[in-house]
Amino acid sequence: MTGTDDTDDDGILAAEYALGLLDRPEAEAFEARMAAEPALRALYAEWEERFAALTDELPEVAPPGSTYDDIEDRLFPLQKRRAGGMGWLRGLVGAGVLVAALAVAVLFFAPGEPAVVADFRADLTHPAFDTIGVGATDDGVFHLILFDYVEPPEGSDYELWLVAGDEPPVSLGLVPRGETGDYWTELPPEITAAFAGGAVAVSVEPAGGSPTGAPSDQILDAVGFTDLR
Amino acid sequence: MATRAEIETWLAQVTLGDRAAFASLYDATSAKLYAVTLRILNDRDAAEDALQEVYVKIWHKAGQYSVNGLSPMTWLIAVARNHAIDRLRARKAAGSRPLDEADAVADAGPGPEALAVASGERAALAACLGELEADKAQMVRRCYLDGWTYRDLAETADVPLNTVRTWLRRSLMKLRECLSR
Repeated sequence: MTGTDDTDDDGILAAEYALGLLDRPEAEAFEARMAAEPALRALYAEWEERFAALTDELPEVAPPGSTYDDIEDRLFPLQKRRAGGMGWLRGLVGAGVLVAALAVAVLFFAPGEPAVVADFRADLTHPAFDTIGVGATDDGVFHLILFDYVEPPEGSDYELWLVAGDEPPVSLGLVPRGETGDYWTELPPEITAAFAGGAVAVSVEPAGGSPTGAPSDQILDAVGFTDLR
Repeated sequence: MATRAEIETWLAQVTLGDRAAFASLYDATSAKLYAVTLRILNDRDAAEDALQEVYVKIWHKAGQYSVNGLSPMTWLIAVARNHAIDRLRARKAAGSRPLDEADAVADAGPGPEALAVASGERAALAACLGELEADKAQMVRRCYLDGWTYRDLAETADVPLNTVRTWLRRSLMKLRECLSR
């Protein structure tokens, strides 16, 4: 058998493998060879790319809205979802303590801003936000810092809420418009104790913030605070 | 539509456990992958369930995407398609649902209009499939888009399995020859 014939057979074998036409022992034998033979991997990749073009004719279909939550539940069964109503949010209160043992105190620095030793931290999962840190600057004033955010769509505002104990959610202010980057805001000293075992939520509100003083049903994100003290 | 670079970046971030990147990847690609699982499984509940499992796999295996030299979107499609086919074959082995003949003949492939707007790669593939006899081209499409096996093809064409295998392998050779022109 010549080398050309070998290549020829492998080219068709690679196509059959890509199409899923090989039976299990044949497919496993092919995979074992691919692991050792870059040329065979290239033949397979070439067919897979060609055939993938066939999916262009399938009309895209948005999966049901609950699908992503179900995936997160499978992957992170003990943690939060990225959106939902307020009821489950209560379940987060106190959840931060579970991960406290893994956490280390983090020093946050930002250009032109004082250093803050964070007492509490929440890693938001919505793509528009990054991490929230809460802690005192050198002068003892407590700050909330939202690291990296994307400003809300025209006509709406993102509002931050502290959810703790059985108290109604407390507004922590609006995510600013017209700028992006890190957002710093001072916190009144009397609420800082509530961050222990509390959670932060981000709601979508009409421009200017919640008209009712309570978050709307549209919660973008909610995460329990990790106690770093 | 997300760019290749965006999908590559998200996959790299997912490898590091970045859930925001995973959410972005899902938002950009789930409608495409759902179309793939829906086509193969032909059942919304089964397709959605398969889609969930596909993204669980993607979360765990994102670091392996470049091993076989596939583009990131092709890798995602392959993960979705292979998983849906596994589910389809498990379902058939359990005997819960026969091949749907009415459904099998419903799809005649892309019309002239679709071909006219096709991207380069898709146009080349469509043109070369068009050079095959219609029933042979349809066999290739059935295998890729619907997860058919040689046995499915043989039963539908009512010929021995070895005959369809020969037909298909010859068709693949012609296809390759045409695509390399």
